[in-house]
Amino acid sequence: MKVPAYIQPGAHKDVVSIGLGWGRTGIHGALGEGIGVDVFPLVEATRTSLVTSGRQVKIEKAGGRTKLANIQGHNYLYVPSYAGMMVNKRVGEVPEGASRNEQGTAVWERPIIAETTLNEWKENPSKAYPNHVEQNGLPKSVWLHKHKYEGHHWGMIVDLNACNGCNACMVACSVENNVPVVGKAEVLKGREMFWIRIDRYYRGDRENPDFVQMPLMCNHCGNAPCETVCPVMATMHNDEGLNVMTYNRCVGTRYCANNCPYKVRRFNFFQYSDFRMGRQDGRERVSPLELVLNPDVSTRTRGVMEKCTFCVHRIRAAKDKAREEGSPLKDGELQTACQQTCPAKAIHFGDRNDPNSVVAKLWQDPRNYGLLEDLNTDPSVRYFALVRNRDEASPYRSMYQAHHVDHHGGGHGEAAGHGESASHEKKEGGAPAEHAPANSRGH
Amino acid sequence: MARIQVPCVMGFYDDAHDLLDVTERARTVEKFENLDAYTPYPIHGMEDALGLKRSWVSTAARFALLGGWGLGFLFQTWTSAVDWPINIGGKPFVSWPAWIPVTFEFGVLVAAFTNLLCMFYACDLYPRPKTVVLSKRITNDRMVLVIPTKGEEQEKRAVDFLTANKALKIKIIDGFDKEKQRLIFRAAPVVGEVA
Amino acid sequence: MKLMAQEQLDEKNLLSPSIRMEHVTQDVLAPMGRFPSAPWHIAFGIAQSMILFFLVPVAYQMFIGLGKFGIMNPVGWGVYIVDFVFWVGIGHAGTLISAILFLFRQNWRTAINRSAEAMTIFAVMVAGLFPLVHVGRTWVAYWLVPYPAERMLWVNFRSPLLWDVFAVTTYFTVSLLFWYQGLIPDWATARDRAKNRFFRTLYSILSFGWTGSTRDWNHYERAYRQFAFLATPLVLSVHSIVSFDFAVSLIPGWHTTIFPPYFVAGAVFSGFAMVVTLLVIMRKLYGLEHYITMKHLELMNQVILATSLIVGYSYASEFYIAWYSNHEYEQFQFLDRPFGVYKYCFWTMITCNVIIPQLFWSKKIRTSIPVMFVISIFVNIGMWFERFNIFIISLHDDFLPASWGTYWPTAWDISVTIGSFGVFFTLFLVFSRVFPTLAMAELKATLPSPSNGSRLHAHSESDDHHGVPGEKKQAPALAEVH
Repeated sequence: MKVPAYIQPGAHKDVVSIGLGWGRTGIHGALGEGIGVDVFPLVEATRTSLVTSGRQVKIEKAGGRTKLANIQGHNYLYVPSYAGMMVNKRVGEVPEGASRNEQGTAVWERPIIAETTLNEWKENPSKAYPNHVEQNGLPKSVWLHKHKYEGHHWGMIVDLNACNGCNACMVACSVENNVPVVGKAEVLKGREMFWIRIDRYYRGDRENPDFVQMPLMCNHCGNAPCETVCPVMATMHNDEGLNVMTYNRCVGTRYCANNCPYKVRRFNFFQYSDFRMGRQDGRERVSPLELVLNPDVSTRTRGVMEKCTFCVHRIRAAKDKAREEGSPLKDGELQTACQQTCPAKAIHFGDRNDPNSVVAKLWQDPRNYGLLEDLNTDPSVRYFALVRNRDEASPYRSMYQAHHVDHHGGGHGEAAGHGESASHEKKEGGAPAEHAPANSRGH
Repeated sequence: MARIQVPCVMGFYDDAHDLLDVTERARTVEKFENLDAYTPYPIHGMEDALGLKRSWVSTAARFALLGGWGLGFLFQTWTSAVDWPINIGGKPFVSWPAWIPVTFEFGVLVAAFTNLLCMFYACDLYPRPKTVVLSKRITNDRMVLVIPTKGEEQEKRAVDFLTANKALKIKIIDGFDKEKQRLIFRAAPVVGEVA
Repeated sequence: MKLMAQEQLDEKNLLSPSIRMEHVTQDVLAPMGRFPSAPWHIAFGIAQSMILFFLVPVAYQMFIGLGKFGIMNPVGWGVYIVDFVFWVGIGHAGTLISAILFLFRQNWRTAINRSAEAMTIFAVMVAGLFPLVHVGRTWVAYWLVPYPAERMLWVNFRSPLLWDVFAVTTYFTVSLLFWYQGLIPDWATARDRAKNRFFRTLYSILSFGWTGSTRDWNHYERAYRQFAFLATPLVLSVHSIVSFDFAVSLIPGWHTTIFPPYFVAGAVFSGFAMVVTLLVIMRKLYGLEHYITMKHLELMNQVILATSLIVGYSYASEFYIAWYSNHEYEQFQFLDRPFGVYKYCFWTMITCNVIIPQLFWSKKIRTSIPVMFVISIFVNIGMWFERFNIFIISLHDDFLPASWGTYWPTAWDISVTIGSFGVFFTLFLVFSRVFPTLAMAELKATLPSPSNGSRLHAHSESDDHHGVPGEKKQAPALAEVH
């Protein structure tokens, strides 16, 4: 069989992994015919189980290229430096012996993932992860006024240490919120519709990299850049700190998505909600299919923007229930879909104003940091820095210091151990250029 | 045609400088009153030669500009902070620096309309299917000095004055035919077309 | 704005001294009175057909959504917005010529201001189409206008897009009013030359009953000057506000304080190039070489050269600031432009906008019609790519590498761009047929006086302050008659 190969850092060169169940032929329906490659012939069925590894196969390069509908085309946090030009914000040198990509000779990393080691953490939790905003302060704002959130103020904590990148939150979110399934063709154009996504980065050596998974949903920024630029106030802040979206009011300028530094807003380029109903076959809705929709969440028409709501319908339902019962909403009674589904308990959601809530307590933890906080977005989602249980000092910790404290001092020596940069993969959001240098063939 | 006083004497010229000169003297030396000059293009200094006051139109437009600015600013304040205050991007309800562009544009818009409409009003311009003109050559290449006259004696003096000042042609308007909506002309006795 | 060749601005050099007022009237009105020529018909046919390239994708989009265009997740604004800013920019030259050059007493503007202003209005009309059709739900785009509605909801005055709505509509309205005021005396000229009752009535209505009385000119002149005073800051504000769409946001490559002057200079640059492109054709087609002379074209080429230098300086400044700012996102953005996936767009921009216009340093080149025509087209291509660079490259790789993506226009995007030229040229061809293409009244004011002021032996030195435009004092002042 002929399948595209996608070479990933860290994979052993003799190992090929193929997901089962993605190839479908001979099943009736839009999603049952001519999809993917069926690899079950490679599996040996014994009386008790399926043998899925260790099988004798022959792999050879078959030639040809194909586009992969991949929403995580970027592999490294590194950003290439072009043509050997180095700007003065260098974070570490290219480690000795590292292979150099064709575009640049030096690399630097963006301050997106915070990381430290267990030893450092034990020594001084508050210093282990140098938060650059805590060090340098926020940029100055022209606005002196700050809105107060009395009553509830929702917040979320995502523990990067706990997340194992299983994608269950993405599935749960899509099902809960009627997020349309747009199909391969649209994903190839870079129009995936997930409200929560898991950004996957590699770090370090190409042969033996570290992995980082970062679940990313709308950060419900206190100073939301998207709200400011919406001309019709289709997105605004409610008095519980939520960045809410009024689909009916949305004109579809897409300015909010452009101005979102996290790029979590999703636009309905077509009537995607019909896609889910099978309308793309030219048929009208197939009657029972609307039952897959969650009746608590409205579907969106084409031309409007949508994004994570912090499961606002669940918040509303929980508040109603608490009011009927005559008791205040207790922490834990309310869970977002992603939080509920997360097997690793990496996501916590709750009221920041309730001093006894888990979120309010974790909010005070020195491990937490806000993504791109230095833009003064005041996000309502905080991440817990990665703490790795290993001896050597984390190079990335020093990177942070190099970034925001001293541009040249300290960081270089410790920064050894980076891998090469993965510049050639970075450009293709949905369709990586580096997709199929070889096709594997087995039998 | 309310603004053309009849009867009157018209002197035709083809040179702005000549016309200016004649007009100046007709008003200051000869003491003719309510003079007017019809020209194909605006001649600088002709307002002074005719003793006209500076137009009020631009002053009105400037006041409208100030008014538009004030109104624009207050409107934004009212909609954003009074009528329905909404928390947008954590910014205060009165985020006044963000309102400068719209304030400016709105003022200019109001001023521009005021400017043009006041000009129309001041010049008595409105879309009309028939326009009464003194001469069709005014919009082409002739300039006309119009001297309103009261009685034979003044008319004769005007004709003499224009003849002495080498008007290319002199005509007299006797009156206005209201039914046919046109002027009643009479050839001046002395000079005809020269050029 | 200081014009380089100010000292050379002698009316004598601009127009031949033998031109009389009646020549102006005849020559300008001639195309309005005759059946259009074959080249006009061909051009009009082509331009009208090009409109289909605009209409078909837009109609299709109304039925199925924006998905046929290249826009995708990180790049939410594609060719539509590039075209919008491109066309708004084109418009700026007209207002610059009609208002700013008026305030600076540049008489050479009179030959070109009517068509340049027409170009402004048509360009802004075309530009205005793009924001309308680029939104996801065009049928509710009127929600951007603050009007009292049953929803009781107003608009967000903090959004640069709303500023745009005000800026572009104000600009269009004020340009139209200003243009129309200039047209009134010329409609009167056409009215008095009309050959039949229909046109006499039509032009009478259009001329608002203009008679040419000095009492009217007095108001007219003040109002015209006031318009120039209003339009000058307006034209500067419009492209500044368009640039706020980008400068006020926080995307690296957009978030830049240099944008307002940079955009305005770029707008004037592209606008003058478009004026040159159009006038070179128009003067030939309508035999207006005596009015739009080589001197005019040369002056415009000098403005193109000057603005090219400003634009080039702005590019350099952006790179310097990226380096100096110590801001890693900004730095990466400005390394990505010349060396990344869009490097050909970047180098096209540099070549067309910075390098090619330098040829205008040579007098031989800036007075050669074929060469300036080609250069002006290059400038327009370059300016289109400048907007493409700023908008798309900045969006395609912003803060989080995981959300990066590469945008390429689809055939539909390109079709719409071609179609927008069709809309523009159709409007302009109609204008050149049915409107007085030169501002006759203003042009007549700059002509030399026919008798040199000597028919009447009546010039004293004290008369000089009247300053009749275009007047030449060749005859010696003689004794006063009285």
